[in-house]
Amino acid sequence: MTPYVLIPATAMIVTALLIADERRLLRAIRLYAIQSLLLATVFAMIGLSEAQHYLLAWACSAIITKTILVPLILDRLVKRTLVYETKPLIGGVGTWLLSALGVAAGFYVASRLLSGIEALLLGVSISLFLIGLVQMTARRSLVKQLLGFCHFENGSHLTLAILAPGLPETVEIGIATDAVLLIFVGALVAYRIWTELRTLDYTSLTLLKEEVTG
Amino acid sequence: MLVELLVSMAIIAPLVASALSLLSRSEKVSGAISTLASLAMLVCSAILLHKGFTGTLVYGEFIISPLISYNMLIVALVYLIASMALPASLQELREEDGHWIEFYPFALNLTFALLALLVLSDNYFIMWVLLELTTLLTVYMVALRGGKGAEAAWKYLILCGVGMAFSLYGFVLIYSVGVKHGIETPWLISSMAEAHIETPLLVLAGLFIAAGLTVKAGLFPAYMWLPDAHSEAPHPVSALLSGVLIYAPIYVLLRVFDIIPVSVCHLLLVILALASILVGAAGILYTRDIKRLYAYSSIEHMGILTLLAALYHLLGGNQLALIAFNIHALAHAVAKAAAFIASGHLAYLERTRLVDKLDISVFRGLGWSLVGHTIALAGMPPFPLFVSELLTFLVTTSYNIVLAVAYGICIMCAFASLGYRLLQMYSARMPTSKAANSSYTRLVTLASLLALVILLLVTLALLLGVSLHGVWGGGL
Repeated sequence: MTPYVLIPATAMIVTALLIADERRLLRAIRLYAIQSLLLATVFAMIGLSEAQHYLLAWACSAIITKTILVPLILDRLVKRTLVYETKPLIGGVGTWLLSALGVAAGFYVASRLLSGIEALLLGVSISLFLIGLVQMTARRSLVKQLLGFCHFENGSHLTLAILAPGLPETVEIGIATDAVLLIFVGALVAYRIWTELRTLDYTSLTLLKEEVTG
Repeated sequence: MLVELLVSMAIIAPLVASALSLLSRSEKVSGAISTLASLAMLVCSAILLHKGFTGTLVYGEFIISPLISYNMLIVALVYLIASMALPASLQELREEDGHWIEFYPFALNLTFALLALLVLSDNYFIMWVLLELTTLLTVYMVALRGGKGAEAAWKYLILCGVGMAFSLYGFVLIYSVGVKHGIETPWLISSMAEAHIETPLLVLAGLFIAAGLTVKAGLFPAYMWLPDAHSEAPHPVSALLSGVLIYAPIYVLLRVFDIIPVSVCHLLLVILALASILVGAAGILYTRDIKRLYAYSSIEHMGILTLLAALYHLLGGNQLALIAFNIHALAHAVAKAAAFIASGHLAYLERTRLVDKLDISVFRGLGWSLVGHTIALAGMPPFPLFVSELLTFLVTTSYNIVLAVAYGICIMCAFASLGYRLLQMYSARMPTSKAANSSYTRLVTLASLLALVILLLVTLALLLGVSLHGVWGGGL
C-alpha cells in the first residue's frame, strides 16, 4: 500500500480536532465536508495502489453521501436554528486533551491488531471513532452531537475499507445509506425540538424528568 | 417454489401496505390495509412453520428453517395486534394535532417488513443495516407527539446510534477473521459458524457486538432510552418496540454468537441480564405511569431472554435453553404488545396514565384483558411465561447453582413488583370524568382479547406436547 495514503488520513484527524474546537457550526460543517473528501481520497488511493477497484466506487459514494448530502442536511438545520454552538460541558482544552487520549488509545489498539501502514490507517479510524464519542459526551449542542455521529461513521467506513476487503457492494451501500438517513432523522428531530422548545441544548431537555413516582 | 412464494408474500404484503397507506387519508382504511397485510404475513409464516421448510434463498443470503418461520410468526402476531390498534392511535394523534402523521402508517408497515427480512437474513451486515433502519423509522414514530416524544426520540437515537456503531465494529472484526481464514463467504453466519474458529479477535468482536446490541435491546446499563421511548410513542409503536424491536437484537445475538467462542462475552451477557431483571423490577416499583411500568417490565423480560441466549451457548447448544427462549419470546411479544395497546387506549379514554387511578371496570373488556396480560407478564400460571421462567430456572441449575439462586432472587423481585402494581390496578375505583368512548375502542378490545386467546392456546399446545418441528422440542 502506498505510504502517501497517510497524508489524507492524518489530515482527517486534524479536521476532527478542529471540528471539536469550532463554535461556529457552519464552519464545523464545512470542516466535516473536507474530512469526508479526505476519506474519499484515502479510498481512491488504496483502491488504485492495491488494484481494489471497488474502493473507487466507495470513494464516489462517500463524496455523494458524506461530502454533499450530510453537510447539506446539517447546513439547512443550522441556518433555520442556531449558527453558534451552545456553551459546551467540557471546554476546548479539555476536549482536546480527551481527544488526544482517544488518538493515543486508537493507535495503541491498532498496533496490537495489525502492522505497517494498515495499522496506522486502523489507528486513524479508531481515533476518529473515539473523537466522535468525546464530542458527543462533551458537547451540549444537538448539532455537535450529530457531528460526533458523523465522525463515528467516517471511522467505521475507514475500518471497513481496511479490515473488510471484498465486502459485497450492497452491504456498503446499505451502511452508507443508513449514515445519511441517521443524520436526516436526527436533523428532523432536532428541528422539532427547536420549534417547540426553542433550544438545541441537550441539558435543557427536561420534560421527561417530570416523571410521576410513588 | 412454494417456500419462495410464501416468503415473498410475507415480505411483499407489508411493503404493499406501506405504499398503499401513503394514498389513504382515512384511519379506517389505513387500519384495514395494515390488518390485511399482517394477516397475510401471519398465514404465510404459519404455513412455513407447519411444513417445517428448511433451505437457503437468494444465493444463501437468506435462510429458512422452523426456528426462522417461528420468529416470523412472532413478528406477524405483533403486527396484527398493532394494526388493529392503528385506527384508534391515528384518531388520538389527530385530536392532539400531531405533526407528520401522514407517514406514520407507512413507517409502521415498512418497519414490520424490514423486521421479517431481518429474521430471514443469514448475512450479519444485512442484519445490522436492517436493525439500524428499523431504529431510524421508530425514532420518527416516537417523535410524532412532539414535546416529550421528541426528547425521548433524541435520547433513543443517540444511545442506540452509538450502540449500533459499536456492534458494526464487531461485525467488521468477524469478517476480517473470516477473510484471514480463507472462508469463501465470510459475511454469512452459517459459513463462519461451520468453521469453528477460535481466536482472541473473535472474542473482541463478541465484546463489541454484545456492548452494542445490549444497548439496542434496552438492557442495563444503557436502558435509559427505553422507558422514555416506549411511554411517549403512539400505542401501536410501543407494541412494535416492546414486542419485536428490542427482541430483534437479542435474536441477532443468539444467532451471531454461534461464531464467537465461549468466553468472557457470554459471562458479561449473564451479568447484564441479571442486572436488567433487577432494574426492571425496581423501575416497576418506582413509576406510577402505566406505559412506563410496562416498559420497565420489558427490560426485565429482555434480561431473561438474554440470559437464555447466553446460557444456550455457554452450555454448548443446550436445547432446553432454546425451547425456553422460544416460548418466552413468543409469549412476551404477544402479551406485551397487547398490554401496551390496551393500557394506552384505556389511559386515553380515562384521561389518566397513573396505574392507581385507572379504573379497569369502566371499559370491562379492555380493563380485564389488561389484567390478564399483566398476570401473564408477571409469570403466573396458566400463561406460557410461567413455563418459560420455570425452564429458565432449570437451565440455570444445570450451569451453576449460584447463578440459579441469583436468578431465583431476581425473578421473585420482578414478580413481587408487578404483583404489587397488579393489586393497585385491581383495586383502583376512581370516579373518572365521564370517559368518552372512541369509535375504535371495540377494535382495540378485540385485539387485546385475541392476544389473551393466543396466549392460552400456546399453553394448551405446550400441555399437549405440540412439537413445531423442534422449536418447542417435541413436548416438554
